[in-house]
Amino acid sequence: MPDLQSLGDNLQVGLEHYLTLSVMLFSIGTLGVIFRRNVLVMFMSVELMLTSVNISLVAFSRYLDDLNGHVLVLFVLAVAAAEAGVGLAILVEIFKKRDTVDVDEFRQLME
Amino acid sequence: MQGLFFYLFGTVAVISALLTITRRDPVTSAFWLIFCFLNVAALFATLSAHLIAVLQILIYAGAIMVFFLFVTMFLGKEKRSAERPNPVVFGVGVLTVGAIAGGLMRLVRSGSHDFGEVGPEHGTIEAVSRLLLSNYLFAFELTGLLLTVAMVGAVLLARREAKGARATRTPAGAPSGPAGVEEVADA
Amino acid sequence: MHESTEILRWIVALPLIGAALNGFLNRRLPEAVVSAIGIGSVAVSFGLALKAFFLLRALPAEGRILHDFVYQWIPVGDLQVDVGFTLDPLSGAMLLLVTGVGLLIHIYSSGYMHSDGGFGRYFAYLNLFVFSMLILITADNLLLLFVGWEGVGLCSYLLIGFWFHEIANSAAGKKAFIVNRIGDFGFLIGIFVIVRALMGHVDEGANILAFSTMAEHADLLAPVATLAGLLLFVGATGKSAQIPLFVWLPDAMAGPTPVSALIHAATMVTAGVYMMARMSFLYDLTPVALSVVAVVGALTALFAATIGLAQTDIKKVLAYSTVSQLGYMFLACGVGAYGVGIFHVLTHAFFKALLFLGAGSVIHGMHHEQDMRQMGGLRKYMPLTFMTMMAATLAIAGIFPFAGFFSKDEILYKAWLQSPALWLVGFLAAGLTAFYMARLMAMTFFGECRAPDETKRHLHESPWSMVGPLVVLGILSLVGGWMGWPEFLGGSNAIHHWFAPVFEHGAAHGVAATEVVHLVEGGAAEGGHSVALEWTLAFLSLGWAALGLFGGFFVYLKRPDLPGRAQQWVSGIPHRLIENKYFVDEIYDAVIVWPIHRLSETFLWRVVDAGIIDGLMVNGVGRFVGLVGQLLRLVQNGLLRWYAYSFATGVLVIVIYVARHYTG
Repeated sequence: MPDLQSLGDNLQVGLEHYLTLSVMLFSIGTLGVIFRRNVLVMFMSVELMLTSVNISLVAFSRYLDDLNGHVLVLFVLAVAAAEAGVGLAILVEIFKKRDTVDVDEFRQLME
Repeated sequence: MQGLFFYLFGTVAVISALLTITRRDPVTSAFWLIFCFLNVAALFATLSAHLIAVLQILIYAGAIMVFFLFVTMFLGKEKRSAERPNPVVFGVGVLTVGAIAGGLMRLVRSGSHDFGEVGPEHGTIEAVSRLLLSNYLFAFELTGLLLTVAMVGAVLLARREAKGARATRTPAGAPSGPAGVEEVADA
Repeated sequence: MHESTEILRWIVALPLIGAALNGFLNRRLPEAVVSAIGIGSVAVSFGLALKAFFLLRALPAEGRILHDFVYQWIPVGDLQVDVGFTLDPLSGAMLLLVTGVGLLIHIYSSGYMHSDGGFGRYFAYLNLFVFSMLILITADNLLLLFVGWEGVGLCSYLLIGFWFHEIANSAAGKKAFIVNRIGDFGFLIGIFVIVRALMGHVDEGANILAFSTMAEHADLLAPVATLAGLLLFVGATGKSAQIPLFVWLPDAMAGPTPVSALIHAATMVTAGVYMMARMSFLYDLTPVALSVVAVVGALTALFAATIGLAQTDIKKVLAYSTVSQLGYMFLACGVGAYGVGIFHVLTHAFFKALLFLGAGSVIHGMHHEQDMRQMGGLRKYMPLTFMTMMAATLAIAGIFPFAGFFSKDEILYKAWLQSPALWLVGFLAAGLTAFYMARLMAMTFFGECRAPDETKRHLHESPWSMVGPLVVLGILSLVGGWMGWPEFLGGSNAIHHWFAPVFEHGAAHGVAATEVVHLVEGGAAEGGHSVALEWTLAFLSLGWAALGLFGGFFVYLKRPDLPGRAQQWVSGIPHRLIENKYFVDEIYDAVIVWPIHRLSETFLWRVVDAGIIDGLMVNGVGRFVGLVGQLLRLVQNGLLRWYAYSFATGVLVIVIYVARHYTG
């Protein structure tokens, strides 16, 4: 354990590290939204993007010693829940009508 | 120790996120996402955000993702089509997202900011709740309203089908997700 | 130096309030309320004007100026223009005239326009006109005066084309508007010239277009005085119907008769004369412009009078008579006797408004018949109208002691001092005036009634709301001139002394007083000695006018065959010339209107409008939008992921911008 302890002490992390992680998760989420045709996975990617934003919010909160960021995260959680609830309900409806979750098939708005 | 935990949970989170968007089967994706969220919750803990960490597990990894899984399984296996995008489109997309990430990273790299010391009450339920129920009371109540509206909307969407030609029984679980979340949030 | 008062803004604003009420609510208000609002607003305005006038009179003669600063209107760099009203002896007299005569004509209108479909609209326009005219008169700077100037032009257009259901009426309105526009163009350039001359040379922040500032810095204006004076006079020829822009006024008779009385006889058309008097400090610097004004005025007086000889429409006769009388006023201004010109504006307003209203009364009684050949013998049916019209006729002919005698005689006297040739032209016109007025009276009120029996049976005197103003104006036509009772007849010429402070600036400021001023002043001094000359001229013109009147009555009552024989004798050419108004309209058609039509049709329409504007611009814009739409359709492909990608590119742009901005 002392080894691990010293390793941990050497690995100093700051705000930048968390923000970098946040950017990575955000990019992965964006890629998911752009490339996946399965609406469910697109939804999950959106959740991933929201979470990455939460990470940066919490990191800033910690850095600034200001809990307002935490409150904001709570609101993001609530909105994400509402979005998931309504979004998935709509999705179920669409699936019942069209029998698919492939987003490229949902093109009524164009026609 | 913070550094060690950061690299450990951070790496796992990124890998599971990548797996989330690359797995073919949505159920697998959902499980990887849950795993990712659990790691993120751990990261929150390293930032002294105890309440957020708990809620991340309860709401995200718990309620919302269970809901996802439920819907995914309810919809069942869809007819598969080739998910491979054409290479040019793929390249352009990756380049664009890469450019966004690069731009953001340039902003992030513009300085070195170490975390200072914070008090023991930072991120505790009591501290966050006090803020939430004083300064943000109105927004908090509004959030309750939002969730109610979302719940009513979900119920309505699910119920409408019952009147239609295909009177299949709608999943009772559809509205349960937001309702559960609201209970948690109100608690 | 000058007193401040807030009364002036209310005098001006009240008619506007009346116009707004009647204009916006007229469909919902009964006639009685409409006329109460219309007449009431002008009546209160008149009351306040009287009060302001007495305030003004109470001041010592040197400082007789009331001023009402309302707000700063245009503060642009060195140019600053305020909205402010000023009352001095000149605008005071005009103020009483406009509100007073305006009030009488409003009352008259309530009878004349009774049960007309556009009753409320009519009163709204009329009130708006009074408002604009009051702005014009009381403005304390040239630009605000121009606002009123355009405002009265607009109201004139609206009221000439009041019965727009008939195409001829709206055409007449358009003609008036366009001809006025030509004049206003000159006026506007005149203002520019003045601004250019003064800008930057006067103290910082000074209101350079204010009359007081301009008069103070008249020396700066001297180099451009001739140009500016002539340009402003171009505006005046349009508004006041002088050669060559008089053609609109006869056509303007298409409007309701009270409108002709108020706008096209008593007030608006005299705006040009007022403007010249107001800008007298400028005209005093430029003998050239003054000579032009005098010559144009004299020629117009004679020219219009000859046309008036052969018109058969009762209102057209009066219209040409108005043009002719306006010529007299400009003649007066042109010889430097602004006060006398304004004096004639006042007396003319009384008797010409009366003539028009009387004619309106006749037309009303004859059921909208305006042709004098259908009239005759109306004396029996409309005694009050006849008596008042007779008073006005004597006044316009210049018979002692009616109002016209004093003002016209003084104009001719001043003209003689300047140049006997000018006097001769004015003198000839005076005789013609007497003659055609006698002809008008003879054909309308004397002899046998030539109206159809149907009309004859309904002939009646007009209601009191119409006859009342006639009587008031009739009395004014008699006594209105007495305020200028000349000294050689034992009077005090009160009006001359009243106006004196306004026109004395040239000498007072030591500005290069020109030869003209010297000449006039010298003449005046000399005139004081040669009372004999004044007596001679007065008797000459009195005799000449009496002769004209007698001749007119004699020819058209005793020897109606004479005009026809005279025509044959001179083989008809002069008469045809006169009857067709010297073909001025036709000449304008051929020289101006026709080429413009051709140009419009071949070039402006087919090339500019159809080709460039319609083809290139309007349709081009349409096609361009269509093309862009076609392109955008490709974007709107319904693919959710494509939208997400577009969104991402947008984010990218923002990120790049932010990254560049914050990291350098």
